[in-house]
Amino acid sequence: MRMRFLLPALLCLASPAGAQAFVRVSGGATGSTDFVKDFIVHPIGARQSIAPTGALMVGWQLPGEYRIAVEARYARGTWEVDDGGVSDDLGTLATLGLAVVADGPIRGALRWEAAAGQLRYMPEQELGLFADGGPSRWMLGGGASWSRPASATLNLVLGLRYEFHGFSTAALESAGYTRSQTVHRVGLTLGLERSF
Amino acid sequence: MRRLARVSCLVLALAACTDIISPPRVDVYEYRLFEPDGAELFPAAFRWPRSAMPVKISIAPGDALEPALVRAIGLWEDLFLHGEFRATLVGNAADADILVRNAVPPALLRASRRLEGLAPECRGATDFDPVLRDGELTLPFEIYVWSRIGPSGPNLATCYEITMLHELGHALGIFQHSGNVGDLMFGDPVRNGFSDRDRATAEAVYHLPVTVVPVR
Ligand SMILES: [Zn+2]
Repeated sequence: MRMRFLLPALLCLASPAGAQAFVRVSGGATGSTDFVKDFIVHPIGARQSIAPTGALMVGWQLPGEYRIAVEARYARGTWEVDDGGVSDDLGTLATLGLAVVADGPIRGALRWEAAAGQLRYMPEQELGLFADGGPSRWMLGGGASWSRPASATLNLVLGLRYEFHGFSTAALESAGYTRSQTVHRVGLTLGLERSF
Repeated sequence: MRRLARVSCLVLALAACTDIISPPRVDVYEYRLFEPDGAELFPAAFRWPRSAMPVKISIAPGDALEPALVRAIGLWEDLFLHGEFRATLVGNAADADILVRNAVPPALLRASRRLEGLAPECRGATDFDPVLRDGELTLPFEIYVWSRIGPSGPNLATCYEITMLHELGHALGIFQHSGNVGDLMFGDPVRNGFSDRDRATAEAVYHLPVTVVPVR
């Protein structure tokens, strides 16, 4: 429910009147650490598999060489379980991240970026730890991008993003699990960017 | 560059790693079936392996037990957090790993072993391969649940729910009855759901070593 209102709110906050805008469309892959590390007789781990990723970023130029943007990043992998050395695939597990991204210059075509927002888990099967649905979790991240002109109006952008968040679900909490599991994610994307 | 370093430091400082903490484990009841094997007892420990998921369950379409069966499958699936048990209904009984019948079971054959549930309005029984000491359980399981008060009556729907949940527990590998009336797997069950001991026992069934595997 919160996700439905987050993007419009971010768009309103992040659109300085009259500023030059840009749009970036990217594709790539995201890798993730375990979102649960459990121990029932032997170790059990669950994670999103390496996930093909698509991202859309809309941003505006700020004074100086800084920019601010909103980004939607969708990664579609599978729910992988390692149960004492036995692997199992529990169906598709997608994530949708909505974030505010700021970036600025490092040197030449290389730029830093920082991101903050929400990440929503969307499992195909609502069972087990996702029995009450996929959670939305706050996330923070940072990374770098490198760009070069691809045509008169388009830039080719290579992006590397690291994000982390704390994972838990209503089903885990009702089963007596406490605290959250820190999940680290790294995404590598290649995209095209156009300024207006 | 200094700004990049500041941002990086902030991200790293906030990225303090934490692991989720599991709840304290609860005592389990005996779930293995001890079968005479010469002078010894063979401890039969069975579960459905992940390679067998989803377990195929068959019931006659439109049967009065179907809502209780669908509910029982959902509850057992959600008892486990990591997909240790999943099941699906199939139309063809010949394909089924577990057959569910709304009928009084036939006289016990020498080819079957039976675990019974004894609620007042309805009863249940789960029949399966009687010889497990060879390390194999020949499928299918056969679950019988039947009314003792006719096709309808007070508490019959609840009795179907409890008995179906209990009998499916046997077909998941809980081959003994709990001695505690507060557990679903008590011999004469009254609990319409899982106790902490039921949960802990089911987790033990699905993570401790097995001695019996399913075969066709
Ligand atoms: Zn029983």
